[in-house]
Amino acid sequence: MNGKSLTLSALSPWFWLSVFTVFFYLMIRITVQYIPFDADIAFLRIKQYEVTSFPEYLPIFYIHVYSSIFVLLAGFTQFSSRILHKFPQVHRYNGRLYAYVVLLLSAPSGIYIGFHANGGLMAKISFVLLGALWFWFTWKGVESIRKREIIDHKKWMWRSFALAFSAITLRLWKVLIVFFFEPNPMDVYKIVAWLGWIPNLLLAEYLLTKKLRK
Amino acid sequence: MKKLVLLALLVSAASCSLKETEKNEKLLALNHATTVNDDSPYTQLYGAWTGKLPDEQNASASRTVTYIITRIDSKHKTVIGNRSIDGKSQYVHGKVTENQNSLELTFRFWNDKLRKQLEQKLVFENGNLKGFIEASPKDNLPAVEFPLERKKPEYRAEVMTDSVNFIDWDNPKKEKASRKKYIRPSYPVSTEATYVLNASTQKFKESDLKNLKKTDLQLLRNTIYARHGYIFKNENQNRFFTRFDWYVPVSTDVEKDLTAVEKENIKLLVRFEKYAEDYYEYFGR
Repeated sequence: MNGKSLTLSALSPWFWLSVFTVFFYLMIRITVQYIPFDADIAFLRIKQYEVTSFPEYLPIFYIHVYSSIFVLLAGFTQFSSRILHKFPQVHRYNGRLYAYVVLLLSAPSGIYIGFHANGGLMAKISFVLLGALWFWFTWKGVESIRKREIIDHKKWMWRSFALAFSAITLRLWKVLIVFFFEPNPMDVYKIVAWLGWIPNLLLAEYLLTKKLRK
Repeated sequence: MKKLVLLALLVSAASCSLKETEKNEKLLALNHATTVNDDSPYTQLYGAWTGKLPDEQNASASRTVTYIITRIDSKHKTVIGNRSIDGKSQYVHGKVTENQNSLELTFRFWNDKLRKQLEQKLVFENGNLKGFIEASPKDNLPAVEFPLERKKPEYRAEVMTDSVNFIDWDNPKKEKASRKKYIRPSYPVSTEATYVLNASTQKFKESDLKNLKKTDLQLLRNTIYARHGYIFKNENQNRFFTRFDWYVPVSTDVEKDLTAVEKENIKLLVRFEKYAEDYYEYFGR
């Protein structure tokens, strides 16, 4: 049985952990902008049409913003084999936290606000698809561990987190594309709506096939 | 249960009215003053002046010429403006000479037909502006003087800045790392989106503005003010709008002249400008 944790490359896991910590910190800073509750702050500044036309938009948006930061916490603990073997309760607790938050809060709210996404139809399709797949992968991850199917559980949760990580990769692509090409805002958005998660998923699949072929 | 209470709280908070931030109101004041002293004592000369320019060949014929004086810099003794004749207009600039009782503006501009640089002297004396053409013994022409009258500015909502892009000389883009020692700085330029969007006639929706960069948004907003004859504190704005013969600078405060549509659009434009400034280049959506 493959008990080894799946490292991304020859680089030390500590390196990836530090990288992840930096981005996690940036995401906290973004989340904090939305505290206290404000109908017209940050990203909502350019979503006032949705805020004023759909009364459910604002609360669902905030559910997504407030819950998603907890989802990223899983990145710190769930991929460490050391934690899994020495502190299995931690893995289980954080795993449950991740699953509950994604399935009940982050994914459903993400799908809803995806319908109202900026960037036109293609961007909306991307975000709704992202939310739906995220929900499905997480669900399968929970189902597989309930049935004690460890390998499947690993595969599904890798896929699920690859999508969760798109929160970071979308914004990273955006900052890079703007820096080099300075396109119009929505043109960038249409690109990163897909670029944010497709490569993540492809990379996860590639690593899974590589690791599990051994 | 707890989730239900949280949801109820969020829904009730959402029904509160949206508040407009104070900062945005302050942003209604346009581009900060940069170089020129805008307390020029000659603001009385700003505006449009029309007269009949005598034809050199035919003594009885004349053509209507309009001079728009945009800015007189009393420190550097320069003047910029626009000259319209025969349906064509061009940006003109010149020097200012202060005499004891009068003020001389000597404009220089390129004449396409004659393919040479021409000069036109305007003299402001006793509240009257007159055009002077020097005598030319070579061509056997006497000196000519023709009066200019103030033209009443008319507000037209439909005028556009089409086919000309605004270059933001004040804000060079940050230089990117390069192996070359000297990199010519580049400047933000507006796009052709500004040729078709009219902030004075169409009520903008968020979707109209979402894909515009900051330079375009600023230009759309400034064009509203330009249509009303606003004298921009910023030199680049003045120079840009002077290219258009519909731009007649007459006032440093046009807030009361803004139409309802324009006021709404200004609010929206300021919001998007601020958003672009805060978020466009940074990590985030």
